[in-house]
Amino acid sequence: MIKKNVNYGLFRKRLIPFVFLVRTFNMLLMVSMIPFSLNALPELQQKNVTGKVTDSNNNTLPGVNVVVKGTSIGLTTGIDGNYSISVPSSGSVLSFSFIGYATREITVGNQSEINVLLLENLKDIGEIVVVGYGTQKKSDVSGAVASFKTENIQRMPPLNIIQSMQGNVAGLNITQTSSSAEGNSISVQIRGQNSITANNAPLIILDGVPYAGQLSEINPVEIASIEILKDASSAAIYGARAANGVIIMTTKKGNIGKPRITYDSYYGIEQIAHLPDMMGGPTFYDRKVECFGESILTQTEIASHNSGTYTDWVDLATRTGSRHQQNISISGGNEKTNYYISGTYNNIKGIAINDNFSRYNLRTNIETAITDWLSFGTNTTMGFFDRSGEPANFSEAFVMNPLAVPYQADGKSLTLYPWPEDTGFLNPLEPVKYINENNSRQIVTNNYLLVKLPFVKGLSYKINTGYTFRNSISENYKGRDTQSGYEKSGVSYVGNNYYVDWIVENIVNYQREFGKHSIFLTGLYSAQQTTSKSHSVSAEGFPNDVMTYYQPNKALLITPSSSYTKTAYISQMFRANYTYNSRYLLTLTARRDGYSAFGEMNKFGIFPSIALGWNLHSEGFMSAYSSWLNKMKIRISYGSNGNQAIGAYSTLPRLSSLNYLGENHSTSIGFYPSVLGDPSLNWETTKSLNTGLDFGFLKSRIQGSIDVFFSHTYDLLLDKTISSVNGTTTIRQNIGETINRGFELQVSSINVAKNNFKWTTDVSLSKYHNEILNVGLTDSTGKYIDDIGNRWFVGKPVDVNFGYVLEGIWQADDDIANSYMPAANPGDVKIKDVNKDGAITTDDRTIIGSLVPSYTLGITNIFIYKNFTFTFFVYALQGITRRNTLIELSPWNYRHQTLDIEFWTPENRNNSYPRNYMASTVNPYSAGFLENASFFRLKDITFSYQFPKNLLDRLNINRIECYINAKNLGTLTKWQGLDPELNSQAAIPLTRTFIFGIRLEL
Amino acid sequence: MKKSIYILFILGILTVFSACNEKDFLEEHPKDDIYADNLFVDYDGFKNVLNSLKAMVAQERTELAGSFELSLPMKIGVDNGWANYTYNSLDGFNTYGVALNPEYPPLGTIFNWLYRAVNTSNMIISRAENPKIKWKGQTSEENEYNKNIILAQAKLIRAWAYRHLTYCFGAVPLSLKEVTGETYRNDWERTPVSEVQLQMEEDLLFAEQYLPENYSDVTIPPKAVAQHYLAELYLAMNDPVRAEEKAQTVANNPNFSLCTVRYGKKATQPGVPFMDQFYDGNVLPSEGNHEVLWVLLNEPDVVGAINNVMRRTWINRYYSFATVSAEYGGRGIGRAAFTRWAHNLYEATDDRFSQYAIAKSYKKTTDGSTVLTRVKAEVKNDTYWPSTKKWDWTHPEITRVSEDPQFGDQAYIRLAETYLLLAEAQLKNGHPELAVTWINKIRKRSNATAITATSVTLNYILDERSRELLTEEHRRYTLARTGTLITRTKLYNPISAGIQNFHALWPIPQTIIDANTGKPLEQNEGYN
Repeated sequence: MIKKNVNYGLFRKRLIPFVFLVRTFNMLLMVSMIPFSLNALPELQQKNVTGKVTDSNNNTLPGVNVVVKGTSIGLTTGIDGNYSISVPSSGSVLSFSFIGYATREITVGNQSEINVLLLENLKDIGEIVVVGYGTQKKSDVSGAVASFKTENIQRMPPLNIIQSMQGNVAGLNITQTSSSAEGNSISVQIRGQNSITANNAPLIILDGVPYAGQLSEINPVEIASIEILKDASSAAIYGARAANGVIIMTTKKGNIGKPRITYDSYYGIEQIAHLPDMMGGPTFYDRKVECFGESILTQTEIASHNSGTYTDWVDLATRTGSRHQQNISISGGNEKTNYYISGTYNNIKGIAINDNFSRYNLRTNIETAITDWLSFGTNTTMGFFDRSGEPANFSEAFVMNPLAVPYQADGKSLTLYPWPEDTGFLNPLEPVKYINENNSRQIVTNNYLLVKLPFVKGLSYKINTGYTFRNSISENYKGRDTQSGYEKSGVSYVGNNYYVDWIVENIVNYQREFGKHSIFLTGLYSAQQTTSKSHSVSAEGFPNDVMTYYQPNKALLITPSSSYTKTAYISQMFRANYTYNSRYLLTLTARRDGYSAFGEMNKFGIFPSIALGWNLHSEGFMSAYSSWLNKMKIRISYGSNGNQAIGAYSTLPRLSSLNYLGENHSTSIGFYPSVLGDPSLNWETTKSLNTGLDFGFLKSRIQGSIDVFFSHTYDLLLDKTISSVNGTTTIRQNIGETINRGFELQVSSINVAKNNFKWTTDVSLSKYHNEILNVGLTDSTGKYIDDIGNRWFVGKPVDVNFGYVLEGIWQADDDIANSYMPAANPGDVKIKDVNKDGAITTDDRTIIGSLVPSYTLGITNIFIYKNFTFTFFVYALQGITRRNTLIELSPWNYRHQTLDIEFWTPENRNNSYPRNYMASTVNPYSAGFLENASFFRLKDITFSYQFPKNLLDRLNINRIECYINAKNLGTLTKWQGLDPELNSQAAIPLTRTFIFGIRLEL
Repeated sequence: MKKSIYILFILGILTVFSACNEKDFLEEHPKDDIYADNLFVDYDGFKNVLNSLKAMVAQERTELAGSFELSLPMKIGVDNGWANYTYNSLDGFNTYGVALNPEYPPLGTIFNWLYRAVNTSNMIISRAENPKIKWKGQTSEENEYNKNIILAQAKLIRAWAYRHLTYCFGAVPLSLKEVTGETYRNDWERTPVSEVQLQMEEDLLFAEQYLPENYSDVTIPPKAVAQHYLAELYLAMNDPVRAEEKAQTVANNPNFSLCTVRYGKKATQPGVPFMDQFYDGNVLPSEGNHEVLWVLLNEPDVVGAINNVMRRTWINRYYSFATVSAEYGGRGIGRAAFTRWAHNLYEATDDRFSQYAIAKSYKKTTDGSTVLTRVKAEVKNDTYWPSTKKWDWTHPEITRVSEDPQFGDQAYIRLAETYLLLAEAQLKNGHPELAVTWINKIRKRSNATAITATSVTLNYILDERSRELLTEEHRRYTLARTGTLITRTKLYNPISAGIQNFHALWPIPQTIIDANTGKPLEQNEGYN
């Protein structure tokens, strides 16, 4: 038999470029070395062995591969490090392997309990990470690459994979911009914002292939690992698409061993987390009369008030929601083939009535060695996503007149004109009546062949293909029980979308060690094409409502529309990694990208980068500190990446439609020139510098990393304002520059590690600050100037609050007549005279507060006591000021209600809110009411229990785990709106969720 | 065996690497959009672009710049029009206060709208000279005719746009060529009004030459429109002789005459001849209207329909006490009203002051009692101020009676206005005795007392224009052309009494000045 630790390295080097999944790596490797003859051993008496695997610090090791040598019997240790395995005979040999630890083999003999101590493999310390087009040892990585611990997904089951990462990865800024059952309105940014107008979202790579679908359609259960490439060097392999960073997701693979069946299910209820304190019926009535007198009231309002029937529209539009999941997966494998098959059903009924989302995912991942030099793999998923049903119109429900009438006399049918005197108002509940179907079906399949070329040692080739097909259909009918359906005798819409994307990547890897020199070269040539087509028909005016949206042929007015978009990419990439003596690391990368939407004159761009790393702890002079300092790596990288922020055809001059009528009033199609083309248009470029330090103290009980970055983005795609004498007011050009800098800290610590009790803490802290350098506008001296119309200010962050500053309220004893606002009355708002020129002019508008957080913090604490685990996660965003749009003064002459603020009165003076009077004089400059939108949020609490091993063994079950998870339990904030994180304050509220789940493994 | 598979692989790789021609692969072939180069190839393509130009003319009565008729700013802040309701977007035009400044948003919208029309016309005019265009005629004469009928319309509308531009902003950059991504300019200069007028004259003369004599094809305006505008242009250029000549040609054209007897859809219902020409179904020449020179086509529930808001703009908010109905003309929000002076300008017998022309009363929803409209001092938010009924229109479907836009045909230019231009020219040429005949034709039709030649003065003609063309004409332009804008506005419109001499022109929008980085663009006097 071959000695493991000798061959380990050799095999690893061959396999690394090909195998994506880290956890199965050791397993595969080990079993592939076992002589086939062992397979033929006769079945002897079955024997059960249990035990616990620990490390030298007496920490339990979960996830250790335990395999009976020469068989396909195998499993991994549980979260407590325990295992229980049946072996064929007392002659069986158990092999324990774990990444970063030396593999041990123990002959069973007559032991029934085998506790194993695994020693850290010093030569191979640390984990292996996916770096794109290959994997690398973490210790060899020279760029800023963060790994997201996917155990969090199990611990706090999210609906959306991205949701689970919020606050957990330093430098990854995730904001839930609006709430819905599907929960997919999430803004994702790596290291904040570089671009002004273009997308700042990172590139997502799923199983090696760019993922363009919705993040809510990825099933989190299927994800095995997530890596975040943050700096220019690590992301440079994706060139023109990498300026916003890259998130690499890899799905699960089977482990060697008998088929393992896992059942993962939960059920939860959802409630409204918080509602703003709106006026409500009686207060609204009082305020309205106080402001305008009773003469402004309409008959409907008087009747509602007299009968005391006030309507809480938000209450009528919401319910207690629910969410549940059923997941079954089967995984396993032998030395030649491994498989992972998973089926999941999710159903969410949101807190908004009719806001539903169902998701069905089926995934099949198989990898098989055809010969010893050729293997084939597939990662294929099919999904069905049902988004049918329209929730009520919340932006209207929040502010709708509470004296308007929701239901007709029968108490059930919705009113078509809830406020008959003001026919412009729709019933906010009306969308619930729409007949709506909205379904998508998607297949994403990634297939590859690996060839180990025998001519040159260390050389291999992989052809990696991806194919995505997606079809969506959306159908809607507004019948005569809705306002527009009533007025127009039915309104229908049917839309079909068809999306196909293919990619072919040729990847060549060469990896060898020459003494102390280690090199790893990667070359890529790839082509990708995306085609998107849509056809839709809107129609109105039907004989009846019976055939809903199946009757456009009977409509009075039919408006079809179609679109077609095709984009193509060609890319070449070369990456060289060089390591000397495991101490000095160098990475050079260059990618050349061609993209069809770039201008005729600039189809290709080249994006180079360099990174250096130094494993300081390996140096001899550091051994003096090794008692407390076991890891110290310094990294530095510099490079440029692109943001291909332009869509198809945007460099071409375009015509817009403007139709008219001709003979007999029939349609006459018309076009006019609307967009000027610029054939030189190209990508935005970000050059960035990153310096990082990875550290590990006290035998890595405390470990983490610090990164500092600085980036400069230029050639920003901005719509330059041009004189409309040219027929159009803007032309899109590569002008403008921003800079962005920040720092990130990620620390994990094992606070307590006793036999029965373990407490760990993970902290991630990040901060960034961006600044506009220029937006392509100069004054007569050539100095860069602000674009006030677009709220872009040189030297200020990209997003700002800009306007008049509301300083307070004029009081009766102020000398108003001699002030800079002589026309004001007591109780009117006092605007700050920012430039102190004794008058309020447009120059007194200024930047107020900040929309960029001063820091983002996430803290996860995990307590494990025997079989109990308790986790809680706190997320904080601090230093943000935002305008609260729910505070408006006599909005629309009290046709809407607002937040229940305490108005200034001569008797009850305050300095925050003005008197209740016509808006134009009280707040003549429409100054906004800004509030502190910082918050601390208790995002997740989980309490879980693992059933004891001895009990489960009797039932022949590997694992049963039950848990209770509560999300969004509480928020500490001064914000008076709906929620400081949401964009719109009159929208579906955030939810508080309580989940009960069970995980069972056979 | 093994070896051959290797070779196969290597060949495969080579194929993938070489088979892909990068240039072809990355070339864009949009299929869902049309581009100038593949549109301007034949007669049909030119007609398509012309359709959008005509729609731009019709946009004059849509809500492009706020919830009011886009040309409302040319009709208020003058002697006979004011904005009744508190609506900030109209304050500058209504009161000539600080709101009328270079950053006033509607100004930019109006400026952009007109230059869009200029550039669209320029594109047609520039590209029509391409010899490869297929004009789809059977003979070379037909080809020539097709080309010229396209050019005539494009030039008519270009002159229409420059008419608006010179009256609103004075000297404006004169752009006559197609602009592309490579040729766009940031160094425009303001061309003196007199030079722009020469270009308008050239364009209108071309249009006069090639447009049809009559209005039998309602999609092509007759040459009378070009002549009408020429008459007005010559008056502005202080050339009353040629103005009279052009207006006289229109007046002599046998295809056009005033509608003096009841006709059409409501002929059997009580009414007056003057109002018949405003009812949908009576507007087109084919429907019996021989007075209309230029029509804005419209039709409900058709692609290409224009969201016209004349009624929404001009009908008062009677909905606050009476139920919205077709009889009352539909729902309005009273953005604007005629002034008390304009209301009091009529004699009692004048059909243009009858209950068919001006809303006199409503039935109250609550108790059915009659509410009379009335004028008094102009104070904003007056729901009892009477409205014109020229723009009454509701959707035939009764459930849609409250809809905002209207979709009926409307007259854009009527012969009556040409008569009044003719009278003005004749007066200037020292022939009040000729002028009075045209004025009396108009007055007689509406049952107003005939006047004598001695009564004919410029002021009288301006008063008559108000009586006849109330809410139709660009009153601001008429008063500016005759040099009476300031005096008459101060005299007759208390809301707009703050008007000063420099208000005869609006400021050039600041965005236009700011964007002209290559050369300073002068602001109009009084707005710096």
